[in-house]
Amino acid sequence: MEQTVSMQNVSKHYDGFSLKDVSLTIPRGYITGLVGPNGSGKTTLIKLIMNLIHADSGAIRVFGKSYTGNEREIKANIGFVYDEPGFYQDETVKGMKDIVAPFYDTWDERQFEQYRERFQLPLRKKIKKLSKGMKMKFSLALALSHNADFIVMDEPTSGLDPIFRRELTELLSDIMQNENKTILFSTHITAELDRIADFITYINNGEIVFSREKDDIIESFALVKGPNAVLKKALKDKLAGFRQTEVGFEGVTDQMDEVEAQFGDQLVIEKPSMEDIMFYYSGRET
Amino acid sequence: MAKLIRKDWHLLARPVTLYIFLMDCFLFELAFWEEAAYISIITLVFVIQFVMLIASYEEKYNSHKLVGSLPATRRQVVLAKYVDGLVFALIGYLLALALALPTSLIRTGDLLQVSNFDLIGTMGAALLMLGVFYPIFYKFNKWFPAFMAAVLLEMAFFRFIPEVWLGSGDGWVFAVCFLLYGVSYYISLEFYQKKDL
Repeated sequence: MEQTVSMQNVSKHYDGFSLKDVSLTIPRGYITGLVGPNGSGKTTLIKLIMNLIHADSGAIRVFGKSYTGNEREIKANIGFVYDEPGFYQDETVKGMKDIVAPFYDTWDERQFEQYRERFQLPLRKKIKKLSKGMKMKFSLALALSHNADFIVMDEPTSGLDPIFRRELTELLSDIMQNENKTILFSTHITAELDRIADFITYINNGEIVFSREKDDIIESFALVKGPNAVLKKALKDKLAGFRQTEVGFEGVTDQMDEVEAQFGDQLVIEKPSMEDIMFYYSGRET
Repeated sequence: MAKLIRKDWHLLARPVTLYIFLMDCFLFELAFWEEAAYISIITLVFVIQFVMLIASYEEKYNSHKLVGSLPATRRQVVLAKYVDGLVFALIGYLLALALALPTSLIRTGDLLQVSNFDLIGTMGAALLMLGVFYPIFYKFNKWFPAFMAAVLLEMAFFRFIPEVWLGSGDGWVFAVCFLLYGVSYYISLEFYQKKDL
């Protein structure tokens, strides 16, 4: 499988937070969801991929190239959508587009117009007068109007209404009809990933917990529920995380066959959602 | 790089630039007409305000992230600012001249005489000022300390240097300033290339 991004043993240290020895690949032609709690390192990872921050150690390659000597070429082929994109707020939609568009040799004005009409973006309105959703749509229109092969989206749906979130996931599915496109989509709203992601990378506390195909993850994990009496060391060791209350416990395991064989008659075993997996993996056991 | 310069000029094309320009014209007519280095002072004020307007706008909206994500290298980003500086110095001088010539005609009945100091000295002083502004701006990402440092340098410059400056006349002083401007570029580049955006 061809890789759009590969990271090897990448570390980045800040006061109070570290991204630790991250190795990761983002396959070409798929949507990869980058998921994790707030402050887990999603934005740091995206900034490293965009070369906005420098790794303390490790290697990052995008389209098979390192940024050294290839920065312009790599970034010309990336469309970016950030939660806080740094637009000049006193500019109008047209003014901001006029600033960004000349940077891309492959800029497609007709395509931008199509997205602008689809998103109902008013050309003469100042960016600061746009709602958060409209700003995000504008950002998206810019990112999609220069035929980029790699779309990087950092929390594009945070603070947006469910209708637009659904609209966005449909739009991304449309984009993926072109098999050369790759999308990296960070979010902490796991329901969106259930709908559109092909691969999931789960990051927590600066470490990649897993990075696998979504269907593989859903199939290899199980949601386990049962009475507290069953929750002995032998079972605890097989749970990735659990939550205990007075009436019983609930957790997820990636050793489904063994748990079923040993404790199956005392437990309820169900298919988990991405949210279940993320919640229990985040270590919030009680 | 031309696209980055164009971006900066696009940012300047706002009503606030015109308001500041008109206010400068008015204030400096009142305050500095008697000064020997009248044209130089007005030029430097125009130049630092052009640069400050762009820098404050970029700081206010944290646009380093946007610029850093566009297809341009960090070297191009910094170089574009330094080319901007050269162009602003020239435009600032022409604007100052355009302001001073009719004023001198009205006040004295004669056209203002332009000396070597006015052109070469002013351009050199502008480059010195910007050569201080940019590294501080790139180091701290804040326009205000950069602005203050640049203005203080220029005040000290006009307090202590003009005698030598006026006496020197020709190109070597400008050449030294241009060289320092080049050194300043490498310092800014060093800061910006290491910076996390």
